[in-house]
Amino acid sequence: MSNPPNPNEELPDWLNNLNSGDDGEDATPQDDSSKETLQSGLPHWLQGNEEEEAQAEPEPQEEAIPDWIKNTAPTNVAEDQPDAPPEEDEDAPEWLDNIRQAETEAKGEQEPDGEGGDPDWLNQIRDRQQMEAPPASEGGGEGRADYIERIREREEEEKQEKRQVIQEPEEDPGWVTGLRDKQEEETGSGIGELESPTPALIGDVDEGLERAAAEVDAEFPDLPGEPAQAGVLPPWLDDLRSETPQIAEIEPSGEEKAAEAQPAPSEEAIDDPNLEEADLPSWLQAMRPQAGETPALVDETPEEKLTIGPLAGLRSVLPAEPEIVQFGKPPSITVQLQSDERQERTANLFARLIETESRPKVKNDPIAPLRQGFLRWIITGLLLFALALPVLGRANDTALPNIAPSAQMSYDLVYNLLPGENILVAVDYQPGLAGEMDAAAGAVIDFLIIKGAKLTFISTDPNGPLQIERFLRLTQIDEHTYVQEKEYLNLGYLAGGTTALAALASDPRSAISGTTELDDESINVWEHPNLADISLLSDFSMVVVITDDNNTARAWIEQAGPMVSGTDLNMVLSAQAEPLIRPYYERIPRQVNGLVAGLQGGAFYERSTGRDGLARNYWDTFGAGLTITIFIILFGSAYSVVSHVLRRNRGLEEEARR
Amino acid sequence: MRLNLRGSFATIVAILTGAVVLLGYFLPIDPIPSLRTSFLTAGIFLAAVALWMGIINLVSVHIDKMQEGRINSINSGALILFLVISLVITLIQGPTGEVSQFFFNYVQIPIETSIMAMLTFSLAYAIVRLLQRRLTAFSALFVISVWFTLLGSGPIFGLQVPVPIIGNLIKPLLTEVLAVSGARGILIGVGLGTVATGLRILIGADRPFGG
Repeated sequence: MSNPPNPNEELPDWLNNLNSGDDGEDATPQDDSSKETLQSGLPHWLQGNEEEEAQAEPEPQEEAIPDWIKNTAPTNVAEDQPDAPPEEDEDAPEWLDNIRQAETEAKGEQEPDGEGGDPDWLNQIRDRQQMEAPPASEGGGEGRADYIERIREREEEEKQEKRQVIQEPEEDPGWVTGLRDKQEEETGSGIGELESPTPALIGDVDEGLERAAAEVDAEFPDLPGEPAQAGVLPPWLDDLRSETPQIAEIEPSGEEKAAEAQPAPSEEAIDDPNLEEADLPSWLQAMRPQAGETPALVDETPEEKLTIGPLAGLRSVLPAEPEIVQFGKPPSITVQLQSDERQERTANLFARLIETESRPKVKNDPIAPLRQGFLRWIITGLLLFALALPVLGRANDTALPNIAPSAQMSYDLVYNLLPGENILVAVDYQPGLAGEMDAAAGAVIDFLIIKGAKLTFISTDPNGPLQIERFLRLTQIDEHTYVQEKEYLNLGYLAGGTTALAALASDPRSAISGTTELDDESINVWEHPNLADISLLSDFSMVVVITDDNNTARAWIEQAGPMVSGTDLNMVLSAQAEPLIRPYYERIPRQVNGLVAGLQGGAFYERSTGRDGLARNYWDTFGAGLTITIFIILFGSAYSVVSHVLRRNRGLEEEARR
Repeated sequence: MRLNLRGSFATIVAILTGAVVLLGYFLPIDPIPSLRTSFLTAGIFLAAVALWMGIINLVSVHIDKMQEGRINSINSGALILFLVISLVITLIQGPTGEVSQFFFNYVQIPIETSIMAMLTFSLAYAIVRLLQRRLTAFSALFVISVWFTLLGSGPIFGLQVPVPIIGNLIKPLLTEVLAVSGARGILIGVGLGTVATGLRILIGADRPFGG
């Protein structure tokens, strides 16, 4: 197997420019070998100018290349480090690494051991070029004609080698074999399948070249060279046709075809020392590469390796649009509120308020807690002292109240009762208010017993049954010897609140059920003598409600009141419930016929009946406590006002001082 | 479309029951009064059952607290213990037995009365501090009203109530005119609210029972 030529040398310059990016070879001007390779593909009449420009200004071309292009441009690993494996981009996908590895292996098979890793034939060409290169001082048309002649001879030799390669198509170069094997392994189809369209492609290229040559001849009839004849191509086009099998897979564009189709000057014309240099048209001069330019790299910009973003390291990808995707640190945006002076003042005030809330309060007055504690103990001592004096003295000489209109009405109702009349008493107060309620209701129940009423007790409070027994024992038992189940009946607790009151008012026999003991016999409560004649709530002569809760009193008034027409509703209330129930009393006709409120009402009742009870015992102590409380409030309020004024004045002085 | 039969049934029952009870006030024509009484009696029974449910829930909550081993679990244990003792005693002796009376007279009454007595000291101290912390016209008016009301509520230095002028004029003005007028306004508001609530339930716009 003969050594295959370098594929880049066999390709035209426009394809070399494309492949230089794909192969990863550096096409920068400082690389002499690659530069010569590029020049070998140029028409001869252009190579002379290239040589002069390259010799005249070699350095600016290198300096004109930006750093980012240097960084992104692939390095010629095969030329610089032939023995070392090519650098694999860490970001490159695996399939790309496999292809690169296959190419490297193919190149390794092609390249014999030698200096620089290049094949021998390439080294021979380089040696020849170095020998044939004109001296730097040599210039003028004569020297250049010799140099062009040597180049022509070298091209002839290369053409001979290429023809040999074309005549032996079965002997593919190693890198093509490597790629074919690799693709066959991956896709199951070989590159050989792609060879079938090659003749057609060749025909297309020939036709394009012929058309381009005809167009160039028509526009530049004075251009030296062989006349364009239909069906007869110049030798340099034959050379290109001989190269097409190698590049059958890549079809050049129309412009590139036209550029290639320009006829090269004939050998006789080039050898003629008297030949004048052609005047290039302006558009062609504009296309000529200027000094310092790297047209190959400029065209490769779309295929540059991305260096940023998630696709960094990949080639032949569309770069992200910088207007849409911005990588890196975003620009810092200054947040500045657009507010006027009033809004800023309000915001500052709000910020200070929040800061003040989060800050622990500093007690400016360290003795304030001591002063408050001292005030509490003073109030407690005064109250205890005032309450203890009447208890210890047992004087009971304070006069009972003689005026209480509502209590007077209650007294009159009881006073008008006939002996033996049925009275329903509801005991609905909490144990906590037993002190006030016992004293307020004691006189009323005592007077009822005195009048010989048949008492039936009931309660809508769960503590009611026990409260009833305690109340009767505390207030009446010692005086009247009323015995449970004989003189009075305790119906107990009536569950259901307002609903139970409505049921009791509409049909007491349905609402209340149970048994009681009478003469050691268990009987139905409705067979008890106190209830024997009762079928409706209105059958009771009077309903007495003893409660400390205005809601309970209101429920009795609203639910039972309409059903007890003709029956008096007498209420004993605590002082706190009186204001809300008094409207029912003052209404005409009255919904509440009698009202005894608090200890004062009970004291009046006792005064009216002439029997001292709990109200009498409590009255002196109540008066002492009330008196001391009035003085505490009076002097305490005066002290508070003075203290408040002094503190405010002190604060104003401090503020004025600041 | 899925019908909520249970909710519709509850709504129908509630509306019919309320209508019958309401008509029972105005139309004493059989069988409306008897139906009304039956509904109310059933309500009493349900209220008693609800009380039992509340007791059972209370016991279960405190049992859970004991099982969790909280710091206050001993209080929960004491509550359950005395609840069981009271229940057993009441079942044996009845609601007005001697032991029940003992616990009521010597445990419950003193404790609750003492707590109520503490209110006297707290209120006296609060009203003294009121003007020190917030000296406004309404605060001053409140303190003056309390002062005159107390002055007319009992004997001052052994003087017979009512104290002249204050007991006969100022105190009745405060408690029987101003206070009653305010209370009457509150009662009217409560009555209107009750009527509105009842009507909403009767027309099915408000369904506190579900549905």
